[in-house]
Amino acid sequence: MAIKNTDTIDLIFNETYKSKNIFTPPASARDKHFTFECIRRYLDISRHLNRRWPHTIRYLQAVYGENISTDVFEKFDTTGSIYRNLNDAACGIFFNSIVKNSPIDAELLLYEDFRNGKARSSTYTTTQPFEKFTLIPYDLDSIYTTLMFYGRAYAPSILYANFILEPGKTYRVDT
Amino acid sequence: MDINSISLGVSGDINKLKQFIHLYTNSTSIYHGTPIKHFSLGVRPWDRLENSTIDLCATADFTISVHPVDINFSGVIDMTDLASLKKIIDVLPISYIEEDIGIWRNGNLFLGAHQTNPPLNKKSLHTTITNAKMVNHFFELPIFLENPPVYSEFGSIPFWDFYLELCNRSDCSMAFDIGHYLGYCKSKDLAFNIPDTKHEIWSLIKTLHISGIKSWMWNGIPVWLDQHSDPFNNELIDAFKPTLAKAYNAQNILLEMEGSSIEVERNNIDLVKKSIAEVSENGNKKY
Repeated sequence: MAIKNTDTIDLIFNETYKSKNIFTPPASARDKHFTFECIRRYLDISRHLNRRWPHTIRYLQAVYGENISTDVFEKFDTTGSIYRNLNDAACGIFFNSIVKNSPIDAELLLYEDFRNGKARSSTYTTTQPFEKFTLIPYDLDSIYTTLMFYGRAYAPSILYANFILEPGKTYRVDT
Repeated sequence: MDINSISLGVSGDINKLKQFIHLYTNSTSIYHGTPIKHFSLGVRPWDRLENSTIDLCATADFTISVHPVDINFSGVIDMTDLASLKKIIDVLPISYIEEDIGIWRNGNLFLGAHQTNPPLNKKSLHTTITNAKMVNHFFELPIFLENPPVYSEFGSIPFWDFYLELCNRSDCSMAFDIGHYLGYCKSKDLAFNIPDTKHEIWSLIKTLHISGIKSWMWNGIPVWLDQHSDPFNNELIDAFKPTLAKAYNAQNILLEMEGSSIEVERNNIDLVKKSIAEVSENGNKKY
């Protein structure tokens, strides 16, 4: 931590969302209080994400690592300003990041929203897709049911990581 | 101040205000027979009040203050939001506006639990004074500046020097939040300590805020969280009594209990009443 007594509130606000502050063991009491402040905010963001997508988050963390949550934390001070509340900001930043890097995983997030009644209908396609990376309903349902099956048992990360997700193929009924 | 005549207040949003109006006149409610005579209304810039609520407030025999959570007293203030707040404030018989200093908003984002307290240094003192003067002039209402929740503390100006200069130079008063100050003390590894009775700040403290907090040890340091729904604990009440004995200019004591159950509200009110009686019986001497 490099905050000085003369620093501005804006600088302190930005510094609070640096992940180095939550992963570096603090030495002094002052550093510990600042670390607690940073961790408190990180946990708040994680709480919003885990509440909305409890099953998909565990799968994504097992596949990509926990840095998918840390990335939201790192972007919170700069990209959060377009949202109205903390929940929208945490979930919006996370979803946009997933869409950008892996549209398949974004479909899983949307499907979990659909299953939890947050969307009137899911946005996935209902027809046989030409695109290799588009999930069809049967796939999504099977994948999500597996994630619930694992999630309710707090399955270890390795089970998620070994779960083969091959969209449009793995669970498709051969007609 | 005659401690026995000090009023108590509760806080909440527009829905809570409507509930409060109903309960206030109900002889079976938890507010009946208590000295609760004040409501602190939490408003957002887009909130709108029904005409029936406005009419009931106009003739109410309790006082009303407004506690927005969108004014960045220590940062950049959105004048459009301020104008929207004024539209709501202008239709109610508001006694004063109370707001934590620091930053509440980052662009459109309401920071809530990520509200950031200002470092106690000259730069943030200057910014907060400038903004407080402007807001005071804009609303043409008394402004009570509140010490915000503090989980980590920066700057080198002592707490009481900072708030005294802030109030004196901005022509504002202070809303002293006891739990938030406990948090400040924890962040500085200090015991709870308030100035003696002769300190000028007591003339500027116009309201005391008290709310639930969670305190525990984390990595060898005392930490805490603001938790308005929690019952008032012993640590808080132990800090409240000596504060009450010194706050001779306070108009009311605001019990911030958003989200708490009826039982918690009832117990908190009883606890504060007993504390007031204890301070009064001791003639302030004990504290």
